[in-house]
Amino acid sequence: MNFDIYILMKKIGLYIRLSEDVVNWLRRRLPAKKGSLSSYIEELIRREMSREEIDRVYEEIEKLVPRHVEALDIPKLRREAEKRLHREV
Amino acid sequence: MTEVIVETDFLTGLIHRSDRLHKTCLEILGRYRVYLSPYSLIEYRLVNVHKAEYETWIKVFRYIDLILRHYNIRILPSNPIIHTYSMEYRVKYNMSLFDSIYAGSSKYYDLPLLSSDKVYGKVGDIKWIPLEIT
Repeated sequence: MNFDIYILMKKIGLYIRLSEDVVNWLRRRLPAKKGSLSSYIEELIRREMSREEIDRVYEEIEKLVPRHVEALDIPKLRREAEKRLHREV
Repeated sequence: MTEVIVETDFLTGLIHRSDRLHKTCLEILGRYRVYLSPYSLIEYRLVNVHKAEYETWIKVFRYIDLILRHYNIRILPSNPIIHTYSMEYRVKYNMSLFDSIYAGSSKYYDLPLLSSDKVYGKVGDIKWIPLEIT
């Protein structure tokens, strides 16, 4: 991949989803000190790692609250929420 | 990138993957710089917390913190002037407390309010962006 393609990728905001194998391959091929291309790849790696963590968070929430109040039902429940607030006070 | 205030419906859609609005909320994060109203967390709590044990919700709120950090969503500070607007709207438009306070936050911060609640359409001096399933 040359530098022009890298710039193009940044400009169009291309998102590459990286599997663990690809991440390890890139790490072997692209030492971190080698300029902006490798730092871009490192950024993608970091993003992918934090995506895995956030996936776990979402799974935990689904386990803890299997049946939540739907977002689109919230406006209908506002008066009731207000009553609950008064009771709390 | 356009900045918007969001409230409890967006928060709910974002943190629950099974919610009908979840994908829409993720798309919105790509289109807008999102700020959460400071009153949404208490409304979320009032709407939901009676349904399960406190220990469960302590964990859920810790996860909410992680999700907000992950998506870099700032919670705007509260302010007395927001309450002055809120009281005006409450009387003028017969709004619920939370509706009026979100409208007041939108007015105070001069940011459009992104919400599924149609009540904001009648408030003349704020900009309302409907939050709908895409």
